Amino acid sequence: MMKRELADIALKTAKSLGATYTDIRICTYRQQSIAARDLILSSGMIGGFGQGRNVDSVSSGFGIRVMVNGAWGFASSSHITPEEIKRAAALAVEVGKASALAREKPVKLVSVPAYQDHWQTPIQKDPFKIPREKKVELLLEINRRLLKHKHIVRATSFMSFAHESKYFASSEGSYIEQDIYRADTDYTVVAFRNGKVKTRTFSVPPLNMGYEYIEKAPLLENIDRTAEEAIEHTLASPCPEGRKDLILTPSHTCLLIHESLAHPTELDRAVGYEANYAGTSFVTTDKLGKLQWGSKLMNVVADNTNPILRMSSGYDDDGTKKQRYHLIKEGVFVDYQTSRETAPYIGAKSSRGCVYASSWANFPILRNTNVGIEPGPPGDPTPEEIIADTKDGILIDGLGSFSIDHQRYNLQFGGNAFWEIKNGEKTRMLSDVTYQAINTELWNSLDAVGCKESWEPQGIPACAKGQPIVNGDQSHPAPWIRFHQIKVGVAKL
Amino acid sequence: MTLSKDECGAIFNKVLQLSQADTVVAQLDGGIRAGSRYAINAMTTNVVEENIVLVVSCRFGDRQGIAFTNQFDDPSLEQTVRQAEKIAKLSPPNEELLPLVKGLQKYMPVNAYFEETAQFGPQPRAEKIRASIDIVKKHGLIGSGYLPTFDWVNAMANSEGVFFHHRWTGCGFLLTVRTPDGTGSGWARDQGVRRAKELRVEDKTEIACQKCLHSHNPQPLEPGDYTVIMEPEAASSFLMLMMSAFDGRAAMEGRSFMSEAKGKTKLGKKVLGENITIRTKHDHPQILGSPLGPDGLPARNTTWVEKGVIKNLAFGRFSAQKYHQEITGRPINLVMEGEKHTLDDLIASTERGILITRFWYIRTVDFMSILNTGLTRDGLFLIEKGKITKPLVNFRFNESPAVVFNNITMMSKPERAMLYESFGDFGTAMVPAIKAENFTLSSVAPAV
Repeated sequence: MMKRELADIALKTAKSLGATYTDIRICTYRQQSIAARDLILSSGMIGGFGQGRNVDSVSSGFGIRVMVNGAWGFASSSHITPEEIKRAAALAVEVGKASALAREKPVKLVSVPAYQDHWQTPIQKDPFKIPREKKVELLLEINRRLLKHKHIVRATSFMSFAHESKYFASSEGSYIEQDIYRADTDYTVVAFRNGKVKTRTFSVPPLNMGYEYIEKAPLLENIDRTAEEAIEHTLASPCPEGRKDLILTPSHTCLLIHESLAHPTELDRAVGYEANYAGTSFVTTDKLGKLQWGSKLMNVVADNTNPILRMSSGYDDDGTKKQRYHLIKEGVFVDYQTSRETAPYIGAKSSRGCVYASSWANFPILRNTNVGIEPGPPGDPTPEEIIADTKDGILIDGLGSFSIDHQRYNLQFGGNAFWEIKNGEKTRMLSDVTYQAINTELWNSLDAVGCKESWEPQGIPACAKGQPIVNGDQSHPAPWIRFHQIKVGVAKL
Repeated sequence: MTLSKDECGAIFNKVLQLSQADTVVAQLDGGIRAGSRYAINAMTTNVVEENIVLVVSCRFGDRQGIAFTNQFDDPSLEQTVRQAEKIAKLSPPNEELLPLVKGLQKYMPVNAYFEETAQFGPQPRAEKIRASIDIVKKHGLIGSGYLPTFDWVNAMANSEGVFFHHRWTGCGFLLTVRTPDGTGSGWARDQGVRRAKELRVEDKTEIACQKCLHSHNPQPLEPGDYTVIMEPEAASSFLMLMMSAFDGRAAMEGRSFMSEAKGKTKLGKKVLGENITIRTKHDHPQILGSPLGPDGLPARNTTWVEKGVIKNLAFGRFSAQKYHQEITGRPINLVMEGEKHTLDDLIASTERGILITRFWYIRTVDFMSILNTGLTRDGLFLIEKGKITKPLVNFRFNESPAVVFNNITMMSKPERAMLYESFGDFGTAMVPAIKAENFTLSSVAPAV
């Protein structure tokens, strides 16, 4: 039976039982992950709903979301048959009716046009058609070369690919088919010297592309540098306590953006939906259009239309078309990431299209998207010029420890590698660097934004939100940036 | 959908018969997860999710391949087996693969399945959520809570005769209650509960409301080193951090807090306070964890720390063989010994200190010292002369569990708590409230 016919069974069944809105996602996810530890492939792992390493996995199923008496109901199943869809649709309605017991005001959704469309990530080489042995050999070769370096005691490398095939149909007339591809790779070394252990990771931005992305990634070219920096790190002096200018590369800034800009601008958090887990947001709706959240140099954009970015596709799981828009313009907070359900909280007539479920089994929720910092206009500084312009600072690259409070005020971040900057020059590596700041104070101290050439679409591997958890896989692009006089070196035994 | 012992056996038999590999392992993991969630005093999410994943692991000699599927029709099973075989043939040799465990094993009896929990459907869940909302509204507060249930199966078989099937149920409830003006927040949790009738929704809601009301309009305190009292849910975070250092292989390879010079470890040495004893007890009646150990072996109860002395590090089959240690499995289903006191006794004994309800967003800063950072959340109170005197603005901490577990001066009886920020069923432990000296609170965190 065609997917449209199966979807129509869900829509008709739910309507006949009292649903005023229904949607169904019929999905197949194919994933391939390959992880090499030294010269072997790591063992596979099993998780609650089938996460794994070094495995090929296929997961198929459907999820039906209904609105009954103004409340949501949801049921999902791995058996894609007409009978099971009927059963699940009836169960979703039963769940929705129960939900209404604990809801006085009905959920209201902003309108959305009906779309009938097919969207696909533009790829040149389907990663699942590339022989596995070719991928394994590349990872083992990376590890072999890394392990040749004295003091390197462990090398791990990783590659993963995903194909998300999703058919969405709603009772409002949409029938949308999407094929989303994702590719990711990185490697990490562990250096052990004089009783000190340090790691160093080389990663290219995780993006929605085909295997051509892996072929072009400068993996082998960066092996010696990565290993040498790990070894040098074991000899580096600890970070002194005090205030320093901080220069951040995009591979570090992506996580800072994620935690301090992307999460607080989720409207469901701001109005209280996430109070019991991920938390709320200090960016309450009364601050919209008023809050000075960054210097004039700061322009933050949610771009879910650039097809190579992780959360990009044609439509979200509300059936809303993906968009590109400013969240912060010249330092002023101007918009939220929204869904059809939350948009009314700020009087918006339409959604920004930020709803996502990482599995067919999950209820779709508002997930933060590809939030990034715009590069400066032509003539803005290159990375070299930012360093040359810094008298007393620290350059931070890559991801390390990170922690932020549940309203996104107080943050403490580390990194993967650090260099002291003195009088415009990189002088030596430092170790154990952490910085602590209050969100708005940090972004208001932004005093340099790099040029377009320094912009990279880096991203984070996974982010959990919701109860039950719905994972997200976001890009957070940025150029090189610099903050003025931030507190460092607080974390120590 | 769940699978009975016979149904699991039928799937395993097909997989084992289909495979042409030298050896095969098949695992099933999944079932029904349902959850009702409310926020701003109204139900926002209510779901029933059904899925079971089959993992097939095939070996040719010392080459292994693994494939997953959630479709159990004959063509899907065959495709998955062939894919695992194909991956195995293309994989490099893995010297860490040991021969499969052979023959039927004897697992400790753990009855963690209760029909009443499996039948705890949308209607009774919604009624419990309604009851919680009514209590919150009676206090004039704003509540958000979550009530998950599980009807789950873990099963495995291998081509050498191992067969294991474990069906379990679980449920829980946790909530956060805030004042309408956003200056107060309280929290409570009851998780890892096997029997739905034991779930304390109303009691926990009242506790969270009282915490919220008393946390209204918190006052700032200077960062510094303080005497702290961690309630069991807060202490469980530090127990989890401490046990993260028990990886035996990392210790042997010099990559851990448990490492010492020249390939030695802290095994057998007194590293923590005299009052610290930590065990794994899979069959503890308040935990009822899985009796499955590594690779199909029976799980075994293990003493990790006894009176401050490290008695065992965690070794799987390969690392145990390599380093001539006993196979212990992972440090889960933990029981930390406490004392006979109550939380009130701990408070009453404190001249000046801080009561911590729970922590949030804990991340490791330095693996070798287990230095971690994180924040307090949803109820932080000043204690003066044995009494709670006022609510405090939250703090960020930078501290190591190895320091905390040397500075504990008093404990309550252990209670059921969860080791993680998780709200699933995983990570149940028995943990006392603890009173610890010189806990480093490094900056003020104004979040409420």
